[in-house]
Amino acid sequence: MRSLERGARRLLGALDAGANRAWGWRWNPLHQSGTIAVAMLLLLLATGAYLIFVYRISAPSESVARIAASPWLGGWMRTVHRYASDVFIVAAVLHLVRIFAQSRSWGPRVVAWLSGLMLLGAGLVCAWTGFVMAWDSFGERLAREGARLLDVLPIFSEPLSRIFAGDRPVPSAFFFVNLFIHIGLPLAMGALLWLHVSRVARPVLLPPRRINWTIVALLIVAAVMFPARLGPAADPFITPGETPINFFTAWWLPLSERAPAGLSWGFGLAVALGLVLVPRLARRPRQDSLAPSVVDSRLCTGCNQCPQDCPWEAITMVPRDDDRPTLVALVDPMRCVSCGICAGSCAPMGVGPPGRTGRDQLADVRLVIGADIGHLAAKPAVAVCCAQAPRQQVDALRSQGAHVHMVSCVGNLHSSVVEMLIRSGAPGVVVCGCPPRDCTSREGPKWLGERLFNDREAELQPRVDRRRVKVMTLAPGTAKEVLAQFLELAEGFAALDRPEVEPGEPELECEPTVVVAGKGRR
Amino acid sequence: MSARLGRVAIGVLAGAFAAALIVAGSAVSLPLRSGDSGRIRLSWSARPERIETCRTLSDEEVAALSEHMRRQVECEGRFATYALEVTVDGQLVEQSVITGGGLRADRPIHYLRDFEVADGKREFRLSLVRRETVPETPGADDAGPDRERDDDDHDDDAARREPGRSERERSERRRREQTALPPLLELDTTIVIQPGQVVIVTFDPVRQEFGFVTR
Repeated sequence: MRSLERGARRLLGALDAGANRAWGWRWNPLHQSGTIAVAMLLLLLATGAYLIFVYRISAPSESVARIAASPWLGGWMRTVHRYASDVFIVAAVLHLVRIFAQSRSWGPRVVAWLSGLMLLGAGLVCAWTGFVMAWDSFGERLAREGARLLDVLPIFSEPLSRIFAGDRPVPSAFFFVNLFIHIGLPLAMGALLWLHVSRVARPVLLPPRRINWTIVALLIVAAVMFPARLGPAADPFITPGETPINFFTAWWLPLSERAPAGLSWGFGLAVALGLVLVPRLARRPRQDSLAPSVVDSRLCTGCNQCPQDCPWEAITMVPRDDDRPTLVALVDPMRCVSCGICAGSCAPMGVGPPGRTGRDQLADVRLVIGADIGHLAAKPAVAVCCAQAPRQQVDALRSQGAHVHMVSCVGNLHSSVVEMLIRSGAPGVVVCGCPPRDCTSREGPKWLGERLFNDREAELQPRVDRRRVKVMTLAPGTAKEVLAQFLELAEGFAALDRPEVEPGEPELECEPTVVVAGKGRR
Repeated sequence: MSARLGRVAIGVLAGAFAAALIVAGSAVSLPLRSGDSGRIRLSWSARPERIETCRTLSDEEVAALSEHMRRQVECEGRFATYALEVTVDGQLVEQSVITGGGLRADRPIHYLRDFEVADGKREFRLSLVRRETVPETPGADDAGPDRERDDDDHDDDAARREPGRSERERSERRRREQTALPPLLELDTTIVIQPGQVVIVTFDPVRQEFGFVTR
């Protein structure tokens, strides 16, 4: 399983690198695969709501041909519906691969993993029934194969396959049931989607508007320019020479048609079982770096910050069992994924995964500084890097003279660590995180920025010179930009230590800014 | 400025490429048949023949049964199985043993099989032969009417309770026999198959014969 995860990580890294080069990490749609799938689901509902009014179960192929031929609304609406279903499947599969590669399928995320699988399965069945609705040669082929596969189950008194044999007309009841499934499943998908995000705080359901509307616009343009092909109307007495097959939802069809039904079932069930078992096979012992957070009740002031920041709603405030008048944080280990966000949120450093609380982080930094308090001053900067950041980029920073300090996630980083590094003589601290929408802890970069620059608890103290604290994003495929950015920042830090050139000139107040690498400046 | 324009151009091109992938993958043309071949589809539903031995129950046996189970004739047996052979131009393309549906093989036969044949004029031969031999014994219908008459004459009470019971049993047996597959069915003919055409061979339960369905 570990080697599969590594393979998936490499594949994802390559895809991300390509997408980051093309669009920049901020607009990389691969980071938004889950939300894009939801956006496509909404687009499917919107276009489907129109199509359902012009579709006739009594004359399926004729009505779809009429829709496809309509130059105004129907033609491109149907095509957008089709392309949106393709994008939905692609986005959902990419989302699944990302979650698998980042080993985010097990522990408290099992519900999300399983409900995600069900959403993907429901999407595939929906696509299947949608193609059957068109009742062209491809739809007929799908219906035949579905019936053939169902016929090996001993549940129908008469084989379903005979419906399509041609010695009698296909009953309209079949199209009614098919339509019922096609409409009913998306409703079930709504419930599954709720379940999918039910265990996360502040779920993000839609991609940024720019990505969302760009994809919608692209689909509409593609629909107008390249209307979805409709095969010849289904006819049991004619086998067309070729038929247009939807690769995304029916890549398996030509293989399954040639295989015995039992083998197709065996393959499908093996894949489904393998996916269902991923959380079991991928899980790690919940110890060391994966141990759930703990609360030191002596230090907890009951400020209620850690429950607000926890991306998994794993922390609640409960009455204390001593005589202090405040509440105390309580971590539910069944929901905690050990992201360490809470450690960065706690001013008195009383919560966090064992070995990663604010106090533990300070102890680590003290070890780094050691007896030679001046050695950090000789470095161009200290780079505090996320453990998930691309290794080559971290090494590149190191090769530029930066002192690299690794943390499990930048959201885990306590602001006191930054302060201690500055006070220890570091010319500047560059915190290097992952793209916000690709953070395995979900909200690491978001809370980091808030804590360093927007006074969110536990904020970076005002006494720290903000000009010496910067944030960068390390994303695959942006090594050149990251390096250039780092050198620019290091030069800026160095400039701060140079004596003023023109005495008497009024000192400019510097606005705190977040500087990011690559094309994603803001 | 030019670097920024270059980036925008790359982004647009990448977006167009992604959209092109979606469009291309949305309808990949795949061949459904090889060359100019056609298909012959065997598709029918029929009841297998019931091979049974019947006997007329005595008055005492009938009286011993619960009222609602008082059958005049009791039959025991099983359903026939059939050997199917299909040849095209003398070449065997299908050979199988067909049994009734269901775990006890007592449900109707539903048969569906497709095979590809080259287009043109083809000698087609199909034979469906019952595999079991049936012993020559007096049928239930031979005993039935007498039994019915006996009942009518000697058991007015039973006749009043279940008028026409024996006749109903007889007609049910007749109906089953009439709709069942006969012991031997053959179809030997020449057909012309066009490229891509599907010729359906089906069973007509009324005429008790196989026939073609084409457009």
